Amino acid sequence: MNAPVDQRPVAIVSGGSRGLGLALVRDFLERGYRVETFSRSESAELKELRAETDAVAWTALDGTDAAAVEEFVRTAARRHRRVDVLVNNAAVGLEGLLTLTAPAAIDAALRTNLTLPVLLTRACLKPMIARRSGVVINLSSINALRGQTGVAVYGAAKAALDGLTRGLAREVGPAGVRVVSVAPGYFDSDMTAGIGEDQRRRITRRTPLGRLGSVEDVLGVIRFLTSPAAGFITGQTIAVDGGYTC
Amino acid sequence: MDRRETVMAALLEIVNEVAGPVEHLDPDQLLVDGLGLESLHLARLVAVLELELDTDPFSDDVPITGVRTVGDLLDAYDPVAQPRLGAVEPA
Repeated sequence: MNAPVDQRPVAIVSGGSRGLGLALVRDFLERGYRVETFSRSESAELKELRAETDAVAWTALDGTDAAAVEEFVRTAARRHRRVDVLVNNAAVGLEGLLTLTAPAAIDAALRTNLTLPVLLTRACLKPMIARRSGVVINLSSINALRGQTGVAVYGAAKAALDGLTRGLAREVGPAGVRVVSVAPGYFDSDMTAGIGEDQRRRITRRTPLGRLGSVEDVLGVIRFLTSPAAGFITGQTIAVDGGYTC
Repeated sequence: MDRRETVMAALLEIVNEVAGPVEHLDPDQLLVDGLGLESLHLARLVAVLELELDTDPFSDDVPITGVRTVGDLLDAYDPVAQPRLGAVEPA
């Protein structure tokens, strides 16, 4: 007799070992998803989580290896026979004036922040289109919406992701797949750990809601966007920034 | 079910959605101009078959632009017939 088909939805989260990615992994698990994630190395927290449940799988993967990325998704799709959600979360920060930034560092950042999500999306769209259902969430940034000194390359990659969101929304909407960008403002994370007290005060002053964001603020929006309540939203960039860019 | 039958079954399912009930397809029927399939239908067909057969012949070997008929599609998934569709034959 065949084993019963596992009906739990499947989420793929890139960079799920720490920070927002790890929070996303936990959140999807709490919502009854099976989760596939990858990163270059595994954090102690993720290792602990994997010991508690077999609903999460982690793969050691260098996101700049196109063939490995494709094989990662293919293996996940083969294992679960479905992919319901992809969150393109993995990213690296790159700060500095453009003329003072080494071309190799620019190339590496573009590979992780743009090429990787494009390839992951390409691979994940296949099982989504096959089942005529799915949601792709691209983690953008307010740096894609407003210019900011020192993060031009980072902002350019994120703006490109927003372009991917809009183009793909038209391309795969008729196949029942939604594509949405989420653009967090400054929120407490590894990437903002280096922000000094003065800058933190300046950001808070400029934010209508008067504070920095939290991981929970971003999670709440992704929770909504991946729920049936957001079933008529696609091709948009949702800023989660307390009004910083309004 | 062999590969060609699997491809035909998947194709029939999509053609049924697009053009209404069809029980049989001839190898020389045109996918786009004859059966009314659009590129997204073909993308879905390729995705379904990748899950079924664990292969996507269009990722490397066969140009999708070379697939115009039902027969072309069946050949693309048939390793013996593939060279006819433009795959590079070993020297």
